[in-house]
Amino acid sequence: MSFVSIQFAVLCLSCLAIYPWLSRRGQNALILLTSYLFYGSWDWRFLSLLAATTLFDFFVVQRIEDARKSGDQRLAKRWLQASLTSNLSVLGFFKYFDFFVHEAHAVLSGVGFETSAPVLDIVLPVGISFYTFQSISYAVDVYRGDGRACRDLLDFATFIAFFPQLVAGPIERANHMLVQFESPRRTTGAQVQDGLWLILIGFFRKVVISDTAAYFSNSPFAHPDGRSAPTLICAVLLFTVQIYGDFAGYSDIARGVAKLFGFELMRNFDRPYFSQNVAEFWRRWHISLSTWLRDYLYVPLGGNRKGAARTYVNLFITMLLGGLWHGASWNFVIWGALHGIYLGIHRALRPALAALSARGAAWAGALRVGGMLTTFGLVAFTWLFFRSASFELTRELLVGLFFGRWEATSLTAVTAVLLAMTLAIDIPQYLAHDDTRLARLPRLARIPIAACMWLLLFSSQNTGEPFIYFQF
Amino acid sequence: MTAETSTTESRATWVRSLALSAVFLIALLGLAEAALRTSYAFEAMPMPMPYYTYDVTHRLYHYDALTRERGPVDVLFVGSSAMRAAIRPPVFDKAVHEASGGKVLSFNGGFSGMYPDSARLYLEHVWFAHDKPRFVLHGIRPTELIADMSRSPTVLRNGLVESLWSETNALSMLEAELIGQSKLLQYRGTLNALLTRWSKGQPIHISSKHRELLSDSTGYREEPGKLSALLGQKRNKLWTYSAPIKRSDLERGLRVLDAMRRRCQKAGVQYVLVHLPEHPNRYGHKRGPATWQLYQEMVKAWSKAHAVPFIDVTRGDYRRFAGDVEHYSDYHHLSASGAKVLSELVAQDFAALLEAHGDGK
Repeated sequence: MSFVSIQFAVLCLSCLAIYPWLSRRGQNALILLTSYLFYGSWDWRFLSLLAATTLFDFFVVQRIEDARKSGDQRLAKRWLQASLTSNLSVLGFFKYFDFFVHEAHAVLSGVGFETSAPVLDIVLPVGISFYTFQSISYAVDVYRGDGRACRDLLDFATFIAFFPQLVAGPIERANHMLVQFESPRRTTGAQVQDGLWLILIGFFRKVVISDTAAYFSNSPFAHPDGRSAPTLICAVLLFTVQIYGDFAGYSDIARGVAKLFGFELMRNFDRPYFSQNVAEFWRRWHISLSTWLRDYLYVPLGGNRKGAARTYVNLFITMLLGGLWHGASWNFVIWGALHGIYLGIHRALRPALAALSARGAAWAGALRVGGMLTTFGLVAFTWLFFRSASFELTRELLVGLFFGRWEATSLTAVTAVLLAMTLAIDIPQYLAHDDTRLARLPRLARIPIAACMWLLLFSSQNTGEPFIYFQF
Repeated sequence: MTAETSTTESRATWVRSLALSAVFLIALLGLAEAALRTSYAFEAMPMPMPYYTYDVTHRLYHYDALTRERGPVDVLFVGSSAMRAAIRPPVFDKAVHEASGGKVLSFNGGFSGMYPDSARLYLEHVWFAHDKPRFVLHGIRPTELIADMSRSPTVLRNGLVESLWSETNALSMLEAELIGQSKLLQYRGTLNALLTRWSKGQPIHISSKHRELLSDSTGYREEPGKLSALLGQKRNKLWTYSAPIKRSDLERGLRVLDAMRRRCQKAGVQYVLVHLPEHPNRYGHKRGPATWQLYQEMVKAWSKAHAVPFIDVTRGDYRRFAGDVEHYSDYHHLSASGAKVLSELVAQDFAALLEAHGDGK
């Protein structure tokens, strides 16, 4: 059941019709039921996996807290290891088993060993990377003493399965989200208004911008051979627009729906394509994942506390694993590695850039604009690896991009229109530092804008393109 | 303020905000739907494409306009592009009037690729959902009874609406019905079509010139090209009836016609078969005459058995409506002059049918 479906609208509205008249626990029970229905609509068999993960972490994390309170740090660590092993095993099995077996088989065959690869063709449960990471952060926080264990199974199960963010995040922290399930909530008028605007903006990003971009870029990505360089450049730019519209659109809808239920989800995107360098990009793109990687991977690896060389290595490892988190494919590994290299280069150049910026306002302004364009270009280039369906196609895309013939393409105009649409949403938000800037415009401006957005939504083709991040 | 008052206020705000949004959305969509139903919008907007071809939307627009201006359509011609090019409704109506004194209003509803099973689906879901005609005249040729396409609505699967007709899921059927009825939903996907046309430098809405190419206001469309020009080419495409013909092939085709007949009977509409002449070169292969004979024999037997009139202006001889190459735009489609001649000939036979119905002078 996609967010962009009648079924989802019916499910949400049915739930909302009862929700305000229930007690806190009743509301949580209703959300849990809705969340399990929502998740089960993809594949009911994976409900058991979600329930098992929830139950296991619910009990184990209580043991972690009990051990900590009794001063037995070793026992607490063992329980934490149990939680991590369980979550990472589930993730590893479903997401990476086939990949590693296939690669091991390829390596062994390459050196002359005849092996049979037991590839299982495992179906990946939707959203597994998101809810296992959420569960891991909860266990680690309790172990570190940064949070407390939840003693109410209903509250905890609802926190793990909350349907607006279950399948593609944001990856919430217990300190921010679980406490909202544990306390009484009231949906305010402002929340409803902001929520409805976020849902409209999210649908617009997904259906009008992202799906339209997909409609035009799918073909060049599927058959890059023989395409001109400008066609492939446009295809990459279209995907740059598509993935942002898709994921930020999803996050907006998720935040909007959560607001209707009286919850505040964390902001997952902060106009990332306005970033002036790659480090800033990662503070603005998929914020819940980048902060997760920072807090639970980069910092434990040593962060920047163990010298310059180790900092570069830590950055690279973090981004490499961040790439692998997206899926078991070399394309994602390269994507992550490129970002790791970018971050390293930026770190090395930082003192020089700061010195240049200090020379005056003109230098600072030029560096800002240049930084934005360079960062956009570098990030767009990495999306080529992210989007490409295979290594072979990636090679063809790169050859076409750098050595293809140079001739006009009809995709230029479409690319410009979709980029302009993206900017039309992001610029007011960027300038006002407010995601729901439109909700605060005077009514005379708000109504025509909403009308245009709705009409464009209706005139766009619902191609049924699934949300890209659902597959992770 | 007590907690209870605050909760009640919260509920009221919540309900009011959602209700206002819903009212706004419904009003907006209602206005858009009303605007799209005007001829101004039809002329100014890009053609919506909920069906497998623009031509369907275009033809439905003219069908509705015709029934609004001149009352219900009496005779609906259905079939493939061969039918679309074969009958000129104004010529047919005039000839019927001259032959029988009866006044009829006809419309040509032939579409590309509408082999019998597709034509049946269109009759059921589109034509009968609008103002029902009194007569359905179905144009057939041997190929339409033999080809696999006659038994499976292949081309229709490309359409947003048509692809949902074969669904058994109630929601999908409802969705097809909604899209079929709502102009607004029919405009879904227009943005992509518009961007595609614009990026290629084409006009963003189909100009009057292009519309004429689709069909005129009575559903007739003249096929481009001339057979005489085609014959002058060194390599012209000619598909002859060269495959071995079996009775079972035709029987399968006739079963589809039977479904069509039953559907018309259920709707209280008289179903009539019309043979659409093809250029005699189509029968030029040694197996051609045998195919023709079997087709004639089986269709006549079937029409007699089911009391379905069969109008065949060739009178059983495929060479009869053939002599002048100027009557054809290619081997399968008639030219404007050919369509004029055929419309008059079919009208004479149809006038006799009308008289038998008691609708004549």
